[in-house]
Amino acid sequence: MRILIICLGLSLAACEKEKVDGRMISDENSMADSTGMSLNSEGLKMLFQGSFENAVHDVSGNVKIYEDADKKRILVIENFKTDTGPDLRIYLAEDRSVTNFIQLTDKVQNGNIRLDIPVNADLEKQNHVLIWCKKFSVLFGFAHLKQPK
Amino acid sequence: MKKTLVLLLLSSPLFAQYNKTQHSLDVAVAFGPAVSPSASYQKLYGIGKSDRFKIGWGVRLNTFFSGQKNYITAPASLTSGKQSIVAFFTENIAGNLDTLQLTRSATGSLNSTIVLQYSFRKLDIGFNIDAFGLTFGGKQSGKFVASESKSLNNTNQNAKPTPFNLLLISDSDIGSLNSELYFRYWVNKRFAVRGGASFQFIEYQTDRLLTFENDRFRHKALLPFLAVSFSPFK
Repeated sequence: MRILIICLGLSLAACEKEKVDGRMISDENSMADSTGMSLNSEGLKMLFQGSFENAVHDVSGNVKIYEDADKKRILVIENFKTDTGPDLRIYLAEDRSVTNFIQLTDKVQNGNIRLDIPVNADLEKQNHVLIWCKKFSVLFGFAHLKQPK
Repeated sequence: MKKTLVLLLLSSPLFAQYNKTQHSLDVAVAFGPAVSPSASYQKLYGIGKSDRFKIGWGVRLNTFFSGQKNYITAPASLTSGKQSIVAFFTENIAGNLDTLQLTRSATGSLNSTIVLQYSFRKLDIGFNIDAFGLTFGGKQSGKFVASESKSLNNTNQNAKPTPFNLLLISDSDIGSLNSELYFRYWVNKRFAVRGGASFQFIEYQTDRLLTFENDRFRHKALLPFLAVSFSPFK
């Protein structure tokens, strides 16, 4: 039992704050995603935008959702920075309570991120981007998406 | 004063002989805002020279029936953010707790149990707790209350009892588990009456993930109970 408690304690400690160096790309019109591919934001229509806010952990960055000529939607996170944690995910959900979520990725790293949005996502409803620790059910941070003015 | 002295003498090991092992079959009913009949078998082994203290194992078939009950978000990671015994001493995170109001509860659980007992002549004081097992029962439905979730709040949801039970202490427990704190009085060598408090976790699992990626909801019931024990081998 003691070993079990120690193991659980160590696992939980992994959710504690720990900073990771982010990769910053300052070019206004293009950015590298986590796979190194570049994205040209010219010619894309911005549908929604928002900024990350802290929940249980420190998370920052700007979120934009673009639509290209083929109606394909892309989520872009600029200057993303989060505390590290085990089993982090990026979800699209209806609210901070993780209602009707869609997982966008299970690979979360600091820097600039580009993710394809599934065709079944309803962005009018699923207008929250969540940084979610699946293993411990902890909301690290969230961004509420709104239409640009 | 005389009475106290007599009671002390009667409970003294000088006047008592305790069996090395104790077998018992038991039928109990816990009652109150719910009804929970159960049947169990337990075997205890004496520890030390006097065998007054016993430790053992058992098997319990426990049922739970009630009208409308509130089932609250179950996983310890959501209720307190802590695991195991630490969760027991940690305050709940209110914002993570949602409620499933099932109109009916009807479950049956078959669990192995752990038993601790201390004897004073004809009187036993003990504690037992389910360790692991299975639960069965039909689908129930009820209103889901989650004020932070516009689309799920006040929706009707279906749920079935969580099929597997495992004792992991406090809110880390999985499934439906019963525990009893009891007194037992042996009327003769074969029969005893037993009574005390039963603390039960009853858990249902919704047929879809709701808020916080969770589908497990728990009702906690503290009920008085009465039982009859029969010892076939005493």
